[in-house]
Amino acid sequence: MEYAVEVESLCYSYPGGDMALQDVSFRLRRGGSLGLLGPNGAGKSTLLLHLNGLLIGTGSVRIMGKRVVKDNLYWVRKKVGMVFQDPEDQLIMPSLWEDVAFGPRNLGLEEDEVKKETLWALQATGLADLAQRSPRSLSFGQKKRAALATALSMRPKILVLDEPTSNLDPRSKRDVVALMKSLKESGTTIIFSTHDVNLVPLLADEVLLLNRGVVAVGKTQEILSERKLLEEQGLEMPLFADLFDELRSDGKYSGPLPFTKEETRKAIRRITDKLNYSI
Amino acid sequence: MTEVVIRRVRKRPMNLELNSCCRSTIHDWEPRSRIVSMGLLLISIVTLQSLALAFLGLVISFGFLVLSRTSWKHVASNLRWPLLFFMPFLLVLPFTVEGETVASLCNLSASRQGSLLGFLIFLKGFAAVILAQVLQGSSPLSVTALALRDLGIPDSLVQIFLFTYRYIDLLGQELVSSFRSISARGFEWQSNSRTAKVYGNAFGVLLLRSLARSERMFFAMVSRGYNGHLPAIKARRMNLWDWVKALSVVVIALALQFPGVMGWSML
Repeated sequence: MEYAVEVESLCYSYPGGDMALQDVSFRLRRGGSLGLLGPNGAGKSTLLLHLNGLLIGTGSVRIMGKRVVKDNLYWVRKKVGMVFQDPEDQLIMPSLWEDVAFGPRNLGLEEDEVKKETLWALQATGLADLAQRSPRSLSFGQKKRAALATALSMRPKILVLDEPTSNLDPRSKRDVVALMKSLKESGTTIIFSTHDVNLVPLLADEVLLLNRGVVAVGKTQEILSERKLLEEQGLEMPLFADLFDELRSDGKYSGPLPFTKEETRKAIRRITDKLNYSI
Repeated sequence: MTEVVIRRVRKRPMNLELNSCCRSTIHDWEPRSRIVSMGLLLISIVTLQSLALAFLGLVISFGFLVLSRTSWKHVASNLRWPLLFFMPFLLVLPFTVEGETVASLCNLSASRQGSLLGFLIFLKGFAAVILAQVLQGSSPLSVTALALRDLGIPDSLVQIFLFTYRYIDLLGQELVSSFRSISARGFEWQSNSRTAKVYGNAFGVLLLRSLARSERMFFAMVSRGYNGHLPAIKARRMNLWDWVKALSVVVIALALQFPGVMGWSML
């Protein structure tokens, strides 16, 4: 199998600080999606910075089979698009258009290509009408999407997002989730960190539970069904799964745990069917 | 007091690019030649020593303002603070420069020379600020910045110029949020050492936050392939009209300096 990301025995300490990452190893196949879960200070952002070569620790990080080293950072940044938690950090130019064009221009594309990629990224994020606006005049939700556009305009094969839905209102959150889903469907490998356990089943095939070191890694539904494991890390089960896990403990439900609305609807139907049968 | 500051920040965000997307003779002008020739005119105006020429400089600046189709309302709102800065020259110099007395007020005598000097500085300043607004507002800031770089201004200075504009509002917001959190905990401004200490701490925190933000910004830029230089954009070639405009402005700048050559000896 071809992997988009391979991390092996990665360790990193901030200067004068504690160990932020300790012996982290995982792999993600091309076109796959991985949700990073963990408490505050677990090293999620630090790990994401390694995937773009912004930090280089001991151990190894491979992107599309190539080890991330100082000599190929330019190539790495072409392949890995990075979206930071606070969009204000990412929107640096006086206009949105200039900001989205910043990456393609750094790649040395011809101005026609720059225009094409910039327009595509703005259209994909629904911000084409705001291209000439100053980033500071955008709403927070628009800024988040704008930050995503600045990474998308470089057409990355791997998209790394640090808490993509934090501080967003429900509508903006839906927009960002829909956009990430469509990128995933188009074959982009996606890695994101979040505290929102309800978001993970919608976007991630796999989950990595991090607390400086890897606590658990595996299929999303398997990891998110482990109540004890999640609670030990200060996390909780997704809402639907949590409810049906309790119903299962009470002997009122015996099916698989639901994680999405559709799965929950099926699970409720199971219970009602069982009730009708027994009546 | 904090609330007043907050309202002011919200109501009047700095917008230097409001008129940058208009179309006019000035907007259509190639940025590098525009910066050089209008920069020369600006220097010429601020070095004038005659009141009549300074007035002519002001008229010329207004002429450029009309040509650039810049919003007068926008210019007027931006003029408030510079005019407030020039006003003291008009009010103080008549009483501090020695010369022929033209009026007396409470044992203070205003001199003719001081009045003329104050008025000269005021006129030149007024003209320069208007011209600077036309110059800066006639293209997006990024275009002006890249033109400056093409003219040989060091890349690092150009980037500082760009980022300062982008982030000055954000710093203002962070300062407001610091003051808001201080006020929320019952702090009231007084003229004592404790107030000075609290304000000092707030500014210190702002500096630390700025440092952390600049680090995150740098990461965000590097992740998009930034290598210390702003990406180059092919500059537009100068056409005949650009040359004509540039030469005309240079001629005006020289004429203001050498009015005799132009037959303006009466000025």
